[in-house]
Amino acid sequence: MMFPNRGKRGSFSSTGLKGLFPGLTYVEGASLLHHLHPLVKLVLLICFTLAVFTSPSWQGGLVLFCLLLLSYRMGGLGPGFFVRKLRFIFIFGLMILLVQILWTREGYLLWQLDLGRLHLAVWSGGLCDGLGVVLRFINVIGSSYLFVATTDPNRLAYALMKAGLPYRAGFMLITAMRFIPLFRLELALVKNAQMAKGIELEGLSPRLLIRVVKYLLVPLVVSALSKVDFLTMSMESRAFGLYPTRSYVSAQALSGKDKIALVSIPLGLLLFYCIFS
Amino acid sequence: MEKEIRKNKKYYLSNRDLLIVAVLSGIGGVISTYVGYLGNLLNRVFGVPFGAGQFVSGLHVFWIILAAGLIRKPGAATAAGLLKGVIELFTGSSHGIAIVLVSLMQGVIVDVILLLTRRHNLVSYMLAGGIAAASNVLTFQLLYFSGAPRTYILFISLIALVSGVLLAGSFGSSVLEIVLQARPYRIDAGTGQETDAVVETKGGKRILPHVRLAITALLLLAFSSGAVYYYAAVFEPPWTGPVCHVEGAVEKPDSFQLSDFKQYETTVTAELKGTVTTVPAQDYTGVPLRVILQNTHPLAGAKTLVVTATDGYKVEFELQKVLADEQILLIREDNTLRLIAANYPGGHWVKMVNKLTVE
Amino acid sequence: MAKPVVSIVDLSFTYRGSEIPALNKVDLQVNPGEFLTITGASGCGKSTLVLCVAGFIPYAFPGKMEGLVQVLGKDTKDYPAGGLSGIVGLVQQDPEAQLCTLRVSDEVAFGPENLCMPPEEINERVDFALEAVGAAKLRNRQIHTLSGGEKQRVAIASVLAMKPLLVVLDEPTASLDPRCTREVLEVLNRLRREQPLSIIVVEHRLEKLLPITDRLVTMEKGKITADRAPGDYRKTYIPPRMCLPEQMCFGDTGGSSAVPEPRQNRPILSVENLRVGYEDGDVLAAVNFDLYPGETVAVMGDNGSGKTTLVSALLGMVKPREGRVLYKGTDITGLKVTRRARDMGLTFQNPNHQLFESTVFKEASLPSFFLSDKPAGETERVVDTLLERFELLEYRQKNPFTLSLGEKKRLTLVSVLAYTPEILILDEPLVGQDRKRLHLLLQALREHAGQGGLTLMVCHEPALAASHCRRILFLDNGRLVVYAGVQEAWRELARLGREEYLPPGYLPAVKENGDRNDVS
Repeated sequence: MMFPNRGKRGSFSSTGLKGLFPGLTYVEGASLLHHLHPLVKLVLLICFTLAVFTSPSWQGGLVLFCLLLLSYRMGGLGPGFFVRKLRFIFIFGLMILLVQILWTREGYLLWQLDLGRLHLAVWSGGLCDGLGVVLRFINVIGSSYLFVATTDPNRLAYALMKAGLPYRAGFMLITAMRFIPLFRLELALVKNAQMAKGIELEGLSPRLLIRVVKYLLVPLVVSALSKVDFLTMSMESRAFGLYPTRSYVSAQALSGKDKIALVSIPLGLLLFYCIFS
Repeated sequence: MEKEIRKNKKYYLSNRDLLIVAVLSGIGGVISTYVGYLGNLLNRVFGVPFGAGQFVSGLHVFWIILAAGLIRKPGAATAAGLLKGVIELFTGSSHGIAIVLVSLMQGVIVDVILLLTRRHNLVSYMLAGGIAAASNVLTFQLLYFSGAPRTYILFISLIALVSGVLLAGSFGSSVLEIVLQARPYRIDAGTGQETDAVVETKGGKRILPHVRLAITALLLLAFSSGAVYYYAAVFEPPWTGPVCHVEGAVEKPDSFQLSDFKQYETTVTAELKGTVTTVPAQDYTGVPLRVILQNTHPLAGAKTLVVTATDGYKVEFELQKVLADEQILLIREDNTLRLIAANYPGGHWVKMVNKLTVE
Repeated sequence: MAKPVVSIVDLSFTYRGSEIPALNKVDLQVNPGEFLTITGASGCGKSTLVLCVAGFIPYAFPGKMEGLVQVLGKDTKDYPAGGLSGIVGLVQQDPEAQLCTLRVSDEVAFGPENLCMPPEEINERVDFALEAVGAAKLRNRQIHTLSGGEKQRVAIASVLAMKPLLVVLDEPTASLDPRCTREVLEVLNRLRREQPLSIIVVEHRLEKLLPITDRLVTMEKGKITADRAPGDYRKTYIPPRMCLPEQMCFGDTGGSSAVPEPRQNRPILSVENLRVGYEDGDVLAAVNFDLYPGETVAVMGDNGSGKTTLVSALLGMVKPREGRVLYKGTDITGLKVTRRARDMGLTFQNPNHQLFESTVFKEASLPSFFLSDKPAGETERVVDTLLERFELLEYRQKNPFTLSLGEKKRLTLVSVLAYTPEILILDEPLVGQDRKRLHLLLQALREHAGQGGLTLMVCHEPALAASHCRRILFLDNGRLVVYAGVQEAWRELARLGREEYLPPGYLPAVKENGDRNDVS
């Protein structure tokens, strides 16, 4: 597993808050989507996102949403997974819909309710706008998460570097990802240290709260930066940055499926755009 | 004899600079994901779909300010913003790929502002932090809610601005000070530039508390007066009553409620003579349509007025006639607007008026 | 004889901003295939010497350098920046801070890839390097799932993959537990036997390293004071970690004067059938013990055996799945951490995780502010007394992050002692202390015991446990496998085959009158 942050150490931090964080990270799998070349997936994600943002109507959004559900199935995750992981997005979307409906009074009046001074009305314009926004929202987040769930960031970084991204930049991403489990652990440790010193987040005045946030961040930052020197030496002693380019062990050539996907899906989305605009 | 020290001049950002950006983005990404959820939680607590989370938006920019302050080369903040966005995407940001754009935007803004102010001190950090934090609202609006009311966007941006100034700028600068003192890594290596930074920070220290206090007070003042103004003068709850739009060939398109024209109210007596129904003459009290239209200054060439109802029903009038007619009123009927056109047939007495279009 | 790999002539180096030279006229030669150990107290210049050999001085550290450092007959200053990579490999202390990729195979391939080698050759080298450190099985593992020892072995492999002529290891076992230390030392021994390498190890814990070293160099204040074969080390060398105050030297174990007898028979802290776990299973199971006032108890075990979880459960930072924790006979399992902290003072292994404040004084009084009912004036007086006692008063207004590791450790202890909890839970409190400070700390712990307090000390140093603790709790894989008096615990550990946890010189056969002169 890429981030077994449910593992022994990482889970330290998430206990108690577990329900809150759906953990939108990489999910190991062997589906078609998992096997696609990471760069192809990146291109597809960008195309899809562009299609979402340029799609002017809620009908277009709905079509894209159905496409997305289909892709979740192709990713071996299924719509159920989608709903479970992104439940909070739906709640969020519902609230946006409500606001849009309350705020916009255009088109036809579909329904209204009078409660004394309070006057509630649903207008067709508000409903359409609201649906459009919500679908845009869900589509963007849903597709991003599908990408994250099926793409190993390590593979993506290596693929990007091979495609021409300067390797020093690529390794920033890899190194940052490398330290994340460690930072999670340290975050938990520092929180524990706060509690051991008698500091509790409940019932703190705002003034004290800022202080406590500082107590949390300063040790983390100092600890992280104290690694920088050693890391630099370790990497430089292994010829990091010595030459402008480097070689790579693993080859990640584009497969037939990759090529088909790379050509067909953007074309499909272009077609979609022509139809719906 | 001091030998000349060979420096790694091959790259603009040294390996160490890159790794500083990497580790800071790493923690920033981890914490921001949590902060993001915290923001969503705040939204739910306050019962609004978005906005309340902006109270903590400064914490997202905090890391970018920290990277800029430690490396002190233009471009570092942009790199930190971009990397942090990507990390957030992969560690489970609830914004998806949009977060990369938002975070990159924040990095660019911090870089640009620090480049413009040409110094690294509390004031420039506060400025950079505030504007960068506020930019996230605009980026999100651009992406999703192009139709949201402008006042609402302004209001939320203001919250983000304050959060950025306090949490990214002020708080960031004080953490930076502690970190520079703690020297977790060789601050004096390389160009020696960082050493000057420490001195500068110390030199500025005497005035810091005052500046901080003054800016905080100023912001709070601006913030509260903005809020008061917003609620007293601009804010218009959607449930107060029927609203009508005037658009088309007018100088000042407008949305109005009948109560805005209370002083012009008159009463006319009219009889509805329709093809199906006839209502005998009775008194109607409302605002002459002429007044409402003149208020928006129709353009010289305009000829027609289209009155539209919420159900899509449309009737055309000759504009000049309407502007001369004291007998056409807009009245309130239950919770909708109704047109009383005394000199016209019943088909022109539009119910549930929603829109006036001048053409 | 072949040309030396490293030749240092009359080398002096002073860091910028410092008056005292870190290295003062050092001469040293390292021959091909040699295994060299450099030792000395902290601050003696051994790490600086290593940085010179690896080419990071003067390239990355500004300062004044005189003399000559040659690698393969060429001045290190004439190599391009980073040009020594591939010739000299560097392995550092902290295994966390020197691995930069996500997978073991990527990490080992990192160096050769940077040298733009063809993929086939890189693959060969990865196989070779992992084989050389006995880590072929780790090849496809994620880095963050490895233990400290495994990480360190991967770090060594990643250096070996560059096929260097010389590998420099700067305290490679300092942050490892005894089992991982043994693991890494075995790898070093294997490299010495099997690879045509020169190896330099900087280390202050020598007992396990001496049998495999060819040459031992001792440094003091920037100078080399001795350079000899290790055969006669016993006469001249005192291992620094063994520098216990005389009256507590190894052998005064069990019921010696150093360990006061418990005064009462009612346990102050009890754990009943404790089971703790996270999502993927139990980390701690079926743990039972009673601890009495006036006791000092060592908690030992490998990293990952559940020591930290046990401590967390005692304070309530993790909720047990089963079982109870009792304080003076009262069940406190349901109490909040902040409430329990009034009676239990905790210091962490890495003090950086619990330093929050901007000055040493504020830091030392912070827990008292939240946990003690004493008036502020009283706290200030107590804190100042403690700071003076632990030789920290001169730093009163300094930023605590600028202190050395040993000073930070003392500071965290002061902050806990200031609010006088009855139970002290200390994670490796004695690391980084010299003989005098060690004495101070042990004295304070003894006083705490004398007042009827309990000290629970996580400790990797068997000699210390032997001299200062009454009982030992040994955890293995989440189980409490040894819970006994010190002498019995050694016998038990010897029976379990955990020699790395036995005090140096402990031989089951001669345990009553062991060859103590070997170590002291």
